[in-house]
Amino acid sequence: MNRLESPEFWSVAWQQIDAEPVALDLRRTVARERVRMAIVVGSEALVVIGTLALAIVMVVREPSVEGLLWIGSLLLFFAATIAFAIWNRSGLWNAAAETTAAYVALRIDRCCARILAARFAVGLVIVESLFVICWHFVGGWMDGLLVPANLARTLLLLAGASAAVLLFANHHQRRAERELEQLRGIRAALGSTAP
Amino acid sequence: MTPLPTASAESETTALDELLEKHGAAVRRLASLFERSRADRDDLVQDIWLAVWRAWPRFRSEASERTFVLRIAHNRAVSYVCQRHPQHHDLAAAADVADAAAGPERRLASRQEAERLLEALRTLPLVSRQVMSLSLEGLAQREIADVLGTSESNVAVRLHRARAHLRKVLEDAT
Repeated sequence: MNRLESPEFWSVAWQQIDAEPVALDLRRTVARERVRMAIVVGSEALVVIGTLALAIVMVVREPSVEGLLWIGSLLLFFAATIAFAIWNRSGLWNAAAETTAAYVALRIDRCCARILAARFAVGLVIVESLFVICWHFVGGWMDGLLVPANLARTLLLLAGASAAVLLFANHHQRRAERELEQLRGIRAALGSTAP
Repeated sequence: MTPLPTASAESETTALDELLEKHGAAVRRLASLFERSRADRDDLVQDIWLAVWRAWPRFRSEASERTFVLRIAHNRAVSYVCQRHPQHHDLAAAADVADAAAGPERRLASRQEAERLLEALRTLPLVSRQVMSLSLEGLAQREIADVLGTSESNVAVRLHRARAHLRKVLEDAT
């Protein structure tokens, strides 16, 4: 009889698993992560501040009701996005030293938040696209044009940007859904004695 | 033990070294259970220790130090499994690899047995794999339930089924 067929021998064999020590460099890893986080947060802030600054400069140079409305709508979209992000992430950053069941529950919440964020992005793209199209047509009508100038270029730009966001959101959502399915399986296994 | 992140850089390193000394092998075995590739296994080990390092300020001695480290390690393993595509575990192929490496020496034979056990363990579903590995680390059923946050009866049932599965897989492989 093979020794491995005896469960009493398994713990002996388990201790013999040959895994060499890993050279850890946690400080460097933490430093790298901090730099990465700073770049992500910095670039997000740069986009928001840059867009707002550009809009303000344009309005200050040529003050108009349209310009103010444009800035107001930009602020509204940014505020809605930031408020959603804060609400969606709240309570999702607990300690990692929980039991596996608690950790799995937390990861399920995180997955749901990621799926919701992807859906929010899709909704935001649709609303913003409609807003831009309406803005363009209203502007054209005010200038006495039935079809606004540069309509094709605007629609093309809008379609390109929307397609990129929608593809990214879809990919993000699918990944989160796959993970969610696995996590629900683990939760079921931890919560019951069913096979 | 010296608190990790509150003290000076030197004492942090000393405390981490102590943890590594005591639980390093168990963490490496756990990583081996979830990843064959050496590079990916090392990444998982690094990831686990990073999580331990970060969570250490919240260690309150309510659970034992070993339970604390194993909880984090198993949680990171769950993340790892969920974020990667499922792998195909082929016990026969693994046995072939082990056979090719086997020699007359007892040490090599032991290593081969360990590899076969590892491959058999990898065929278990994730939670059963966790239960079985914790049992092999010497944890009692109550401690396993404490690490995973499940009931002792669930642990007992899963252990029973996992042992039966392992026995069958190991018998079939020989």
